[in-house]
Amino acid sequence: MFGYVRPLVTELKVSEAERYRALYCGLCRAMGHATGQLSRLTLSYDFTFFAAVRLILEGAAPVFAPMRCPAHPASRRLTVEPHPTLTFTAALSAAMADAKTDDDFADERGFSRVKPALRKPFTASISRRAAKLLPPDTDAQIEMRLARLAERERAGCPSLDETASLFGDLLGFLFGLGLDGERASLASQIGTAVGKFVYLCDAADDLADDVRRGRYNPIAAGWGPLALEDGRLSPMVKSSLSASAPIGLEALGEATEDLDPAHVFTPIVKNIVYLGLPASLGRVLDGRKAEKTGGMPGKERL
Amino acid sequence: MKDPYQVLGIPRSASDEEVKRAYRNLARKWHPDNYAGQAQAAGYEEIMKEINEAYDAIQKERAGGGREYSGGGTQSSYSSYTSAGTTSFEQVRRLIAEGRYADAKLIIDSTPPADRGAEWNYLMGCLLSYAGQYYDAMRYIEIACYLDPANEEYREAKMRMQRRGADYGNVYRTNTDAGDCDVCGTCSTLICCDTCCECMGGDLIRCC
Repeated sequence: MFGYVRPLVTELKVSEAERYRALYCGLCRAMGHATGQLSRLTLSYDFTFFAAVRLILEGAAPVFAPMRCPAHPASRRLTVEPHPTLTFTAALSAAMADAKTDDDFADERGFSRVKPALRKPFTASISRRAAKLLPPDTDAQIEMRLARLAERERAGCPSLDETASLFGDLLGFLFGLGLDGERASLASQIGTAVGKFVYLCDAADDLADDVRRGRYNPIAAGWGPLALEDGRLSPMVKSSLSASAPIGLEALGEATEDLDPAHVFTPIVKNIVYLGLPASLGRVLDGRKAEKTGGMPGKERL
Repeated sequence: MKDPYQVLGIPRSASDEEVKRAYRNLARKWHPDNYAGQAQAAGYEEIMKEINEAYDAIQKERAGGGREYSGGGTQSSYSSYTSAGTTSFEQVRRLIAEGRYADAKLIIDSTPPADRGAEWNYLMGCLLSYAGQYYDAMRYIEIACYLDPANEEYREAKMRMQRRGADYGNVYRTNTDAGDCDVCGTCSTLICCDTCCECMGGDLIRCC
């Protein structure tokens, strides 16, 4: 989806990095089973985070086993064995991939529509398969929330908090989906905060491009002529975001403190929340692309 | 002018927090809204004015010692706050001090675009940060600093936000450290024990 929700690998213990990769591989495998081999191309760090949070909340004890994978035929890699939560995550990932395609198509004009249009038959087919694994109205719920956001975006909403919260709503809904009681509220708290943050990163990342092409961008809408300087993020915007984005994450930090500290994935989730997200923000503000980290699965789409 | 402490009904030794609380209670009690349309409203307004002046006087007095609000050359917003003028921003500050954010927001929102200068941006930023809308809050504060770079108050607010932002993530793995078992900690503990023993007439470490 966006790829901002990833750990700061250099601060992970070796064992944690290995388990994180195992989860990534496990999710990839689950996507192959749930929505078809091609859907594995849409594998993302964001949904790996989702899977980790859900496994912790469900108190699931994942089994790690070395397995072979067509992408890396030479060696067996440690992988999380099939698990209902991974299947669920895979299905949601497919549903979101399709929603994203629709969204891109609606956002673009003219020639740029070709890419999402070409992608549509594929994402529609994986989303159809995914729908069978999800609660009946999931697609409609996602669409409804995205439509609400799109409406504000079309209106040129100048408040980044407002639009980001609408995207946060969507992720909060996804994280809480199928859970109940306290776990649901903790999950949606996490999802909401992550969503807001991801939206901000995405807005900052696309700013120059959006302005050039005359598209809506929440940062440009709020800052007006102060948003850009020499075609890049202005120092004022940088300073503003580098202070306010982490403050917005405080609620996320608090929520992760309530996660079971004994679970294997909790230290990884904390790494992502406390270090990975700020690192992604730093990358975006500096205009750097995510570097492919040695030893980590590098491929990501959507 | 009356003794400001007497007006607020507090001793001179009252803490900042107590001053604020006393002011807030009185301001709520004597707020013009409570007597709208009543004949003696004018008299009540006098009282309200007195309370406000007393509070401003105490604030000014205390700020003089602690924070550098009224620096000579720079155009401090604090001076505009204490000036006798009845700008709407002054009222916004009072409402914020009283915790009536919604009312303050109404005034801010209804300010005509022509009057939306540095102070307006600053106050808008404050209100948004109380509402938890940090992305937008920081934008307004940043713009306030941009419009009036010399203003201490705006700079202070910006720095406070930056410090808070920089603090995020500091808790990561701090509690899994081995505590104070490093060399420095051990030495200082030994010295401390020795000093205590010596106080009681004994000695733990002979050589010192």
